[in-house]
Amino acid sequence: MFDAYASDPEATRYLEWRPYVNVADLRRYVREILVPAWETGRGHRAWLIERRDIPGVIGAIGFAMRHASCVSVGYVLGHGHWGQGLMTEALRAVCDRALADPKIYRVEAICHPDNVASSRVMEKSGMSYEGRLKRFFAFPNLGPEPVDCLLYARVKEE
Amino acid sequence: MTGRADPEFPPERIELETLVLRRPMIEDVPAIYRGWTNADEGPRYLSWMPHASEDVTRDRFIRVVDANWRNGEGERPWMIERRTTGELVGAFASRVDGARVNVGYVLGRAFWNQGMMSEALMGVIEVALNRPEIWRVEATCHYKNLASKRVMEKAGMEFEGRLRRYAVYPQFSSLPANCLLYARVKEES
Repeated sequence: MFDAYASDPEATRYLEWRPYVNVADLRRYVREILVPAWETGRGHRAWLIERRDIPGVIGAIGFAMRHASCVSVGYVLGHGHWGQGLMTEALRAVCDRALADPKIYRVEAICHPDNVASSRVMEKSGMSYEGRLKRFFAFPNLGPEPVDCLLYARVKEE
Repeated sequence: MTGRADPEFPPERIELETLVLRRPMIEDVPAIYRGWTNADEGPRYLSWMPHASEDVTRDRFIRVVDANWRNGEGERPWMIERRTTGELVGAFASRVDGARVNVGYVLGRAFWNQGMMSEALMGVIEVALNRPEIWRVEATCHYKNLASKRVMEKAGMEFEGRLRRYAVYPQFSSLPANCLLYARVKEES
């Protein structure tokens, strides 16, 4: 995780956390936050992404329940793996699985307006653009002020 | 940014021209039930079902929000009180998430179309956006709720998008409905 994406300033640029500087901090996050989230079934739960043909972690994709029928998702991929359709495959699969749950009607995600790669991944995964949310989120790697975000969503078929 | 004399948002009391927004009290239960949580007087575009009795208003609403006010977290609604008569006309909820405040409101049918909710919403937006740490006030409504749309527009909020299958309005359907998202921000980026 550390080498593949978590310490990578390019991969984490538009995320809601700063890149990790040492492995110990990442280890503490995994032990104290990420693993307990799966064990309790609450909070942000992330999967690590591996390629079938090449061993090793290349990225992560996670989700949290916004409310009972709505899931929000987020993802990160080491920059050496960009432009190969890998995150589109992962995001599409997560959307498919979420919307197959009878309780879940909506999967949504936001991205920074300059993050064209992320917008493209969402569109290719079957999500649709719904609007520009003004001053919605402060990206810690970009500055202290909240900036506009683009909202995308995919919903259950009628 | 911290260490100021101002209370954190939401403050317990907001004084407006004809209305006062204040923290609810257990003594408000009969007026709340009579005004807008019973099935006849309450609006239909709400995220909750009408209450069957005052006991429900006390146990599921007042006790919960009173705990939130005491703990300083979660949804901390105000009662909307008319200055001239002191009567309760509705409730106004706010949830803080970082630099964002999400708001929602309900007004008893007897008080519709008198501009009260526009005054309340405008007042809350002004107080919120005057806080240095708050940049955005947002709200959603059912896509057919024209009265709520109008209140948001009159309060200077702008339409941002239609959120499909976003929220459940249980008096209409158990399935999530399409919603309209509105927001007003400190300054455009």
